[in-house]
Amino acid sequence: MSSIIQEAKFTCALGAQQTVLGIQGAVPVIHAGPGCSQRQFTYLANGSGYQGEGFAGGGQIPCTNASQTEVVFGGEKKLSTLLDSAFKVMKADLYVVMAGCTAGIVGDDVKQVASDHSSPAHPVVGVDTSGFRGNNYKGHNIVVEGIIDQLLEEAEPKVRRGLVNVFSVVPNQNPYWRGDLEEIKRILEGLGLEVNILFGYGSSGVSEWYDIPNAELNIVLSPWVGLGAAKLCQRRFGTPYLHWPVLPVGLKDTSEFLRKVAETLSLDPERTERFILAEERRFKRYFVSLGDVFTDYAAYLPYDLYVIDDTAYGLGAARFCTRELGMIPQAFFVIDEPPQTAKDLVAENLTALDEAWKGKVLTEPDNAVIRGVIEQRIAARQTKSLILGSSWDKDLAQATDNILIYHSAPITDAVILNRTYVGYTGGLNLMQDIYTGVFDRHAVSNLTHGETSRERNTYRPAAGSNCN
Amino acid sequence: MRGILTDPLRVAIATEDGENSDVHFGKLSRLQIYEYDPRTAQFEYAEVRKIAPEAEGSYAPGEGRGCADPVFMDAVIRTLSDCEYLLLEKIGPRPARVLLREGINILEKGGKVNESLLQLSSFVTEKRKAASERLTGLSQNDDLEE
Repeated sequence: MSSIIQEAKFTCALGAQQTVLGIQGAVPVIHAGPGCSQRQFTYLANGSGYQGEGFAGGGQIPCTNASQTEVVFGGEKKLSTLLDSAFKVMKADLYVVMAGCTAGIVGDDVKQVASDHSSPAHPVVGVDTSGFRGNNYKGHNIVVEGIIDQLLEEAEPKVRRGLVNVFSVVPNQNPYWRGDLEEIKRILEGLGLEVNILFGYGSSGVSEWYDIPNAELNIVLSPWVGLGAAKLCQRRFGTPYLHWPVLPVGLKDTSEFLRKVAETLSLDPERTERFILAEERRFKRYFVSLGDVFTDYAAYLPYDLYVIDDTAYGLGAARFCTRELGMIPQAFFVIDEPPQTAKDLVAENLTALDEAWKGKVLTEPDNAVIRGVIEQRIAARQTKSLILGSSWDKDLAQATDNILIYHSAPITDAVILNRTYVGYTGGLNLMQDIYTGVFDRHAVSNLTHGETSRERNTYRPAAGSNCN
Repeated sequence: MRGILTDPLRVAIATEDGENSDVHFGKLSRLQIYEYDPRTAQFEYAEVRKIAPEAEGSYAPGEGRGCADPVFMDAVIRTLSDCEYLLLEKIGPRPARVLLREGINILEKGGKVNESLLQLSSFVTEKRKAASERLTGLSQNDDLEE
C-alpha cells in the first residue's frame, strides 16, 4: 500500500483550526511553522466551497511561525509573547492554542502556556494537534475534548429539562456543515428541545460551550467523531448520551432519529408525532411530484450508486439513496480512516438495510485509487451511475456521462452557503440535485442536435439548482 | 548537501563583547566562530572573523545595512560560507531567507553566548545520534527496491 496520497480528501490534525473557527467568537492561535495554517485554510475554506474566513480566520489567524530557532531553543517563549499580542489585537471569547508538528516534536507544552495565560477576561486552552497525530477528523476530536476538558474544568452541572448538546458534522471538512447544523437544530427544536448546536451561525457561540454541562442529554450524531467528547461529558458531568451513528438523510431515517430522541427523553408523544407527520407530509408531496420524471425518464435515471465520503456523511446518504431512491449499491469508499468499531457500525447499518451492501464498504484515503476502482466498475457494468463525490471526480463523471453530486471535500467549483444534504430538507435537496443531473449532466442528450457534454464543454456537476 | 556525521559543523555568533548575543543583522561585523567536536559533544572556540572591510562604509555610521545592500549580503555570505548556523539577537525575515538559501541557518536569540552554545550542542548531538541510527538502519535494510 502506497504511503503517498495523490488526491487528498482531508488534511492533518492541524486542520481542526477550522473547528475552532466554527465556534462563533473563538480564535485559534497556531504554534507551528509558517504556512501550515495557510494551507489548512486554503483546502478547507476555499477548497471546500468558498466558505469564507469567518470571525478570525484566513490570514488573520495568529501564528508563531516557528523556525529553526524554536526547534533548537524551544518555542514556549515565542508562544507566550504571541498570546499577549493576540489579546491586544484579536478580541475573542476563547483562544485555542494549537500545537503543530514543530511544537509537537520539540516538546513545547502548549497546554501549560495556555493555562498560564488564561483568565476570565481571556480564556485560553491548549491542545496538541501535531500533524503526525492523524487527520483533521482526529484533530476535531482533540480540539472538542480539549475545550470541554480545560474550559469546563470547574463547571458544576445545573441540568435543564429539554436541553441537548449535539456532536455531529465537522466544520469545513463537511462542506455543507453550516446548512446541516441549521437543519439538525431545526428538527430537534421541532420536538420542543433547546439545542446547543455548538458551531455555526445558528449557535450563540462560546456561551453554548459553557452551557454544555447543563444538558439533559448529549446526542452523538455520527459513527465516531464526537463520541469521545460525549464520553468525557458523561465522566465529568454525568450527562447521558445517545450515540446515533446514522446522520439521517430523507424521510425514513430522519423520522426514526427523531422518534428515538423523543423516546430517550420521554418527550410528549403527541407533540413529537405532530411535528414528524407534518414534516413527512411535506416531504412526501415533493417526492410524489417527481413521479413524471421517474416514469418519463426511467431509461436515463441513475441506478448504480458510488459514495466517496467520511463515515458520517456517507452512511446517511448511502442509506437514503438505496432505501428511498432505489439505487443499487456499488461501493462506499470511506475516507476518514475511522477506528474499527466505526467501520463495523457503518457496515452493519448498511447491510441491515440491503444485503447488497455486503463487502462494498471499503476504506481508502486516496481519491486517485478510488477513481481507478470506480472507473473499472463503471466500464464493466455499463449502467447509469450516481457518484456522491468531490471535484476530484469531475473528469471521471464527465468522461463516462454519469451524474456527480458534490458531497465531500474538496469542492473547488461551487459556492456553498446554507445548502444541506441532511435531514428532511437535505433529502429534498439531494433529490433535486440528482434528478436535475439527469438533464444538465446530459445523460439525456440534446436529441435534435446530438451534442454531447464534451462537445459543448458546459458539463458541470450541480451543487446548486442553476441549470445552464 | 553536507555529510551530517563527517563534515565540520560550525556556528558563527555575532557578539561585540564576546559574552552576549546583542547584535542586529544590519550591524553585523564581528563574529566568533565555534566548531562542534564530536568527541566532547561540545562547541569549541575556533576564531574571530570580521565582515570584509570593503563592505563597510557603504552606509553612514549608525545606519543599518540590511538585505537591501548586495555588497554587504555578499560579504556576509562569503564570510559564513562554511558555517551551518548564524546566531544573533535580531534579523528580519528577508535576510534570514536569503541566508537560508545559501545554507546558513538563522538562530535568533539574545542572552548569554555560553548558554546558547550549550543548548545548541545538545540539539546537534541529538540530531547526529538520530541521523546515525537512521543510516545504520538503512545500510542493514536489504529491501531498498520496492
